[in-house]
Amino acid sequence: MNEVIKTTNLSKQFGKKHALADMSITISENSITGLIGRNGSGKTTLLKILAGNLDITSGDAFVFGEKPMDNISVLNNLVYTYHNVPYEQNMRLQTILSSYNLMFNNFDLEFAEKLMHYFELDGKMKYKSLSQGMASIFNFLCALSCRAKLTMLDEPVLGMDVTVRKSAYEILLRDFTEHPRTFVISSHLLSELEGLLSDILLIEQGQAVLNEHIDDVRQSAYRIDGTKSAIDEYISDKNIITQKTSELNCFAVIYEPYTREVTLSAQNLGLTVSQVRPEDLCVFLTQQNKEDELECLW
Amino acid sequence: MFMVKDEYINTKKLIHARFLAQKLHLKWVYLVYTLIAIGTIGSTVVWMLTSGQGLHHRISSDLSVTVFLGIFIGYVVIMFVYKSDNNKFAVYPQTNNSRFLSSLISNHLGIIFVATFLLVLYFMHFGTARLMSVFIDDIHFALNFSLGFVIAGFFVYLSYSFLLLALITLFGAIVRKWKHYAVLAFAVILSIMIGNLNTVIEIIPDALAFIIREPSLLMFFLKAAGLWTILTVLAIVINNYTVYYKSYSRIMLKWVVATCVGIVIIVPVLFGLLYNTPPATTYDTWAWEDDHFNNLSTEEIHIDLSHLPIGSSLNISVSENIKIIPSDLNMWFTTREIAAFLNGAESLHNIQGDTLVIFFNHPFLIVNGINLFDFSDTHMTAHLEGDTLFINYYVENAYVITIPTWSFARQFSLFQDRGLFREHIMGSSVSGNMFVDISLLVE
Repeated sequence: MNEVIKTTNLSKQFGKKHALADMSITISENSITGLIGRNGSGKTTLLKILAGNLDITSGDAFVFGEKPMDNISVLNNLVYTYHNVPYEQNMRLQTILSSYNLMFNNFDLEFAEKLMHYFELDGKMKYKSLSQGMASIFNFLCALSCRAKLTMLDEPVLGMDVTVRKSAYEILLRDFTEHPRTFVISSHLLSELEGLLSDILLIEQGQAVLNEHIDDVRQSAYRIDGTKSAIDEYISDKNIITQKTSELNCFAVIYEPYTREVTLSAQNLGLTVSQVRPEDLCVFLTQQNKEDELECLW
Repeated sequence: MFMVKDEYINTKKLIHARFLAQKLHLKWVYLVYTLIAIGTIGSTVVWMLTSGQGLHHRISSDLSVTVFLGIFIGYVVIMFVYKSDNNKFAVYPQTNNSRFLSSLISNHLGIIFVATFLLVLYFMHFGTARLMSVFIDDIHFALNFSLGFVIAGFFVYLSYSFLLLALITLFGAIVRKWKHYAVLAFAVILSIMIGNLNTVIEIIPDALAFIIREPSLLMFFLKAAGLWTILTVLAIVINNYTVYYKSYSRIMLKWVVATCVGIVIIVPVLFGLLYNTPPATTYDTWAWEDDHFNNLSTEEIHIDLSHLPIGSSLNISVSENIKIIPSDLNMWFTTREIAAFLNGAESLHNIQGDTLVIFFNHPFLIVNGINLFDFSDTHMTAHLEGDTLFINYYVENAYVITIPTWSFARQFSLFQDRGLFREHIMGSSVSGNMFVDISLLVE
């Protein structure tokens, strides 16, 4: 598949802070990639760079094979929105839709109006009168209706209640099926997105930790539960992500392909083997060992 | 190539998108101007329909001009808070150049739109007064009306606005390109200005004399267009080499504060300078006033008393608008009311002469060199019936309107001496009442 996004040793510094550090990633055409990471990991910085909204410190970033900043042929084919886009606050939603319709060649105004009706948004409402959840819905539907070749959504469901979130995911998936294109969705809620995503890009401290197809991610790690001695024996030559040893709970997560051989060898030592959910894997890969600090709080 | 074809298309779309957002504010501007128009026209109609409201009515454009200047300063501020203003449109596809050009053009279009309101207001005021004059007799316009002047003045107004906007745009582009140096230079200039304000006030008009004292209208437009092009092209070139999305930082606030301080200081000074710039051909206003004082019309009515016996007495009967005041009281400049004063007693005793001379000083209301009573007909009569002297005085055609014209345009010799500018020569007016003096002529 064609690469829609490609970065090579991409770095971005704000003063002395490294927001992105030597990041090299690729995102393929017609995929839905979940951009996952903790707060301050560099998700928004990456999206802004890809949208041409931020300069880079070093390295390269390409969208549709070209540098995005000030490149109208690239920018005309992408949309980047977030939950609180700062439109003119007194503008009515209908007017904002008209602006989108004006600016984006493929914008489907009829579809946008249908979505407005579906989510019970009145076009006469002023943008400033929207709650955070409603603003998120509005920005989500605007981005979706653009039908841009590349749609980047930064925390699109922030503030939405669970029912609306599920509707939003369903609409996104159905629209993707009808009009295949590339989505990059930044979110904390990987568990909800899991059924939607084709790829996961996990970043931590400005670096890409995972950039794989979701099926590969599911097979990339496994968990073993058992006695401390059996676990210690098993993990001696393994790539351990996390390990917990206590009287009640003793387990380890191993970042190696989850295969049939793995299951057999672990079972021989009396260990229980299970698949690690992508969300848990992301947590394990990005968690910081602060248990000692946690204990010091009390 | 400066921009590719798609960028021009994008610029056009962005202008449209900005206009959709601007419409919200322009709606309020339209409302304010409508209220001003209703207020001004209403007061004119009331003045015309109500007797005893005075001879002169000035249809003022001060408020609408003030609103225009307020909006103009708003556009100037937009050029300073360029980034935060553009954030509202950041979600749409755009490049550094299309963004800058669309902002520049939409600000200019906005100013044209608002300035056009001023022009429409002027025509509405003038039209209303003209329309009223069809139904009401005796309405006079003290200042000449020239369509050419109104249109030319409008473009002069726009030219000055565009020049100032171009200057601020260039300044904003420089600040974004070389932030630290620009602020340093700004601080230095500001401190020089504060320390030597009088010198700066003298220097700036001299430096700008080539345009603000240009007496030829055509040359002015050529110079203004040339200067605007230079300033704007410079701003575009500097912006072209400025990375718009250079790392976001929180220092924006202090820049905004600094530039706002600059606006507060510089803009009023510049406007003050432009307003106070002497015209290319100056009027000697005091000579004008003196000339009028010397030529104020007077009238004498002689009444033959030969048939009266020497030593007889006369009663004096005056019309309602004549007040008899003590002779030692100087009422010459005390009121603008159309009234006459009889300097003397209510009756005359022990008459010794053959002829009674009633001396009338005509009233006057000189507004910036124009005696508005010149437009009216003042009537004075005096006659003797038996032993009573009847003195009557009244004014007809007592509606005189002045509509201010574009103040900037008075620098051009083309419009001098055509009765278009006298309204602006000085802001004050002087008036004198009808004064009646009675004396006996002994032959």
